[in-house]
Amino acid sequence: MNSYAIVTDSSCDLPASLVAEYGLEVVQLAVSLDGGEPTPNNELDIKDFYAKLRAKSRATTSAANPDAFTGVFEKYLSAGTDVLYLGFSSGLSGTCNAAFVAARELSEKYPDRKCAVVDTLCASLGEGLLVVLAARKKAEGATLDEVRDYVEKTKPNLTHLFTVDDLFFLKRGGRVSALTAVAGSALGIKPLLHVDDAGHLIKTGIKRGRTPSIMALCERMKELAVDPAEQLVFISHGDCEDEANYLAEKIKAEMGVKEPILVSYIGPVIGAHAGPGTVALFFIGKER
Amino acid sequence: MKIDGKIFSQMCVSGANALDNNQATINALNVFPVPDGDTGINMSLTMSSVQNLDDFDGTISDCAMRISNNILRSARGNSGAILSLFFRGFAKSLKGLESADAEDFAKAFENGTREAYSAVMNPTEGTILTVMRSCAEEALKVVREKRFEGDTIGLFAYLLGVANKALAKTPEMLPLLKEAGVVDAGGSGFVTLISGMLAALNNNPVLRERMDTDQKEAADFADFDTADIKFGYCTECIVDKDEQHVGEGTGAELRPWLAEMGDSLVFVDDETFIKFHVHTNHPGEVIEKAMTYGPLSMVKVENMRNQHTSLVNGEAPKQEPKKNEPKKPYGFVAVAVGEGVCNLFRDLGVDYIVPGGQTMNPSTEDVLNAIAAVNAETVYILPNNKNIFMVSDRAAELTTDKNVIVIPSAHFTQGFSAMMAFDESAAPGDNAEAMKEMMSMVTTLSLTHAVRDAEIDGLHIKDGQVLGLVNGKVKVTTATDYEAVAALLDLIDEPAFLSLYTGADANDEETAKIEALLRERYCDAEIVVAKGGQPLYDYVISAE
Repeated sequence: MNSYAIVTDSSCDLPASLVAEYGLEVVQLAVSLDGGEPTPNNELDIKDFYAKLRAKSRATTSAANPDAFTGVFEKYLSAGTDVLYLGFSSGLSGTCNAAFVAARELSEKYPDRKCAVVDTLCASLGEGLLVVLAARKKAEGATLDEVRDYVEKTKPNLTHLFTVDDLFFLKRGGRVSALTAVAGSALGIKPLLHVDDAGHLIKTGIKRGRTPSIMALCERMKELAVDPAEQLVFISHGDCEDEANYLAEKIKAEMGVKEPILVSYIGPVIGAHAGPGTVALFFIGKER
Repeated sequence: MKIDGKIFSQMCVSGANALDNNQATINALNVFPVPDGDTGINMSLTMSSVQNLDDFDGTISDCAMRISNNILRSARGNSGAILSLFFRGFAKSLKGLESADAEDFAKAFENGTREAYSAVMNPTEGTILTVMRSCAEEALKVVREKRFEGDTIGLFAYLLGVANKALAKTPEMLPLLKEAGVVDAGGSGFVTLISGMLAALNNNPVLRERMDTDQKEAADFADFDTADIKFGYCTECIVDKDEQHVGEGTGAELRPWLAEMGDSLVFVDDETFIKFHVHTNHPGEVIEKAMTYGPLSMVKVENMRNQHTSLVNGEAPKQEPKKNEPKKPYGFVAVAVGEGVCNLFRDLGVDYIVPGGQTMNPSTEDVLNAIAAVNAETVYILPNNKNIFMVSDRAAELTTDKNVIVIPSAHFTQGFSAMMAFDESAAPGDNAEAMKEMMSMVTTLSLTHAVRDAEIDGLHIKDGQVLGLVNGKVKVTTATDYEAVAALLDLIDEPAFLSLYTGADANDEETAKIEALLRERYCDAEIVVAKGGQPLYDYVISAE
């Protein structure tokens, strides 16, 4: 019996085409600009959103309410379909916890149905990549439990490497510690960061200059990636497509990656914290 | 005549006064026509801490030890640091003596000189060290020949002659001095000190000509008992007289008014400014009143009861470490001047900035206070100027409760690079190595204006011209900043990173031209333009 749905949330940054291709359900998290009404992620024009961020608009996110999940989960459960929710890192947001609360309540109402919640400890297209890999397993015929186990086993190896143009946004959002945030933006210093095993953002080093910082992502991938030629590689960006494409070309040329590399926008939820100019790279590595 | 503590303290005070009176003369013995470290000021401020020994009555051993302890902390600049070590050696040699005769002094000179040499990594002849050493050698020699038995005055008089001769020879030993047509400034300071000491022996001690509030204040503070304080706020102002008050004596009415407001009044009424210092319970009223004479160029208010700096214009308030808070593994102290430069250091993670630089050398005590304020296991010090290396080393030595590591950055450009190499996950020693290595890649280009005519390395320099320096050495002289940059770029290797720091007096138009030149010339390099706000140097370029 293969009747289950894979549900994720909009911090996964998967483009609509992939969401449709894999039949995914995406819970929309909301973002508000300059203290205004929260707007669902998918209703914001992405170009316009980044233009506002650059103009120093303040974007804020809040963790989804359990109700947001109850509705979506119940839609499937009531129809006799199990749910596998792959959620945004608990190290960065309370979203996954809200889903967990919703699932627990629904388990009483639907004792015969399964509603599994997995904290991916991932963000952006890192979460998206894990969701796509899970959906592929499902398409191959894996059961919910098998896919859940696969996700649990794979997530410690889902490497997130990224650089930001300006640490201002991460600092403002409280997403990096004060110590990590230390960096001379005015001197052209670009931090290199990753998401650690607990799903937190950690600075791993600095590079001087934008191009060196992007090249450093490629270099680091060479050290970490397992069999890169055969891998699915995702790159997300904060409205700097040219630089993301440049990184994709480099990776293709240097590591012979066969499958097309997905280059896509970082959506408003993550973008609000990472800021314009973020370039993030995701693949399966020896470690995070 | 044997010399006891009382006489020796009078000698040292007299020597300190002589240094103070001759500050300007010693400052002028500047090898380069660039606005540089002021040896006269540094030596005078270093010695000024003996002021509070006035009326000392005790053994020469105690007196010398107190002087040594005071000077160790007040030392500024390299000459000051050398002087402080000289006195430390001097004190060690006199230890246990009631009073000293010529032979004791000869030994003390010898020991002081040895101590001074030991602390300089590459002792250079033709400097203050040479003058000290000549005195020590001659003193031992004449004492062995029993020439000044019982005649300490005779010995000092003889040594003054020796010191003068040695000073006159410094240009022969250091070609730089010869070229500039000067004798060594530090050596000259030492001669001045000896002459002042001798004058006191001759019952004609040198008196201080200049009223100096800073030094008076430092001395006052040493002996404060907070319970005795009637007026709680030490308030200092410098007023730039406005148009209707320009001229001497126009502030005459302010003086008695201030005297009513508190005590310890020091008041200077000059042509263009009024400077005063008063202890009062109403600093606000004092400041308001002062402003009726013109805008304030400096205000300083200190609560003397808890000795906290409550307000200093432009400077960060003193940061006291919170008790009970766990120490973080690493902290940083940088010596810097210029708003932009200070902000960049803070942004890079520096915890405490000691205000100071080329023309304003901090004392050992200033650096010690900074180290004390940083709550960390290991504290790195970035002196950012060669003339601040030695006091930084002394401060590191004097700190016992923290691991202090001096990263000898010769310029803020090197300091920035060192900070970039820091890795919080690495061990203290490895970090120090990485920081030193990173900063060794930096070539610093700086632009300033000549302060007098000069001839150096075949360059004919005219007063006011732009001087282009590479790592502190004058290489080109031009009419404009732009031309100087263009000429300097010909002298360096192709850099991967270029940072242009604009000085306090840089103008936007010239900055834009220079930036365009850099971008055109090095299109592959990472180029950053940042506001440094540094004084005297319109532009500083770091090339790596």
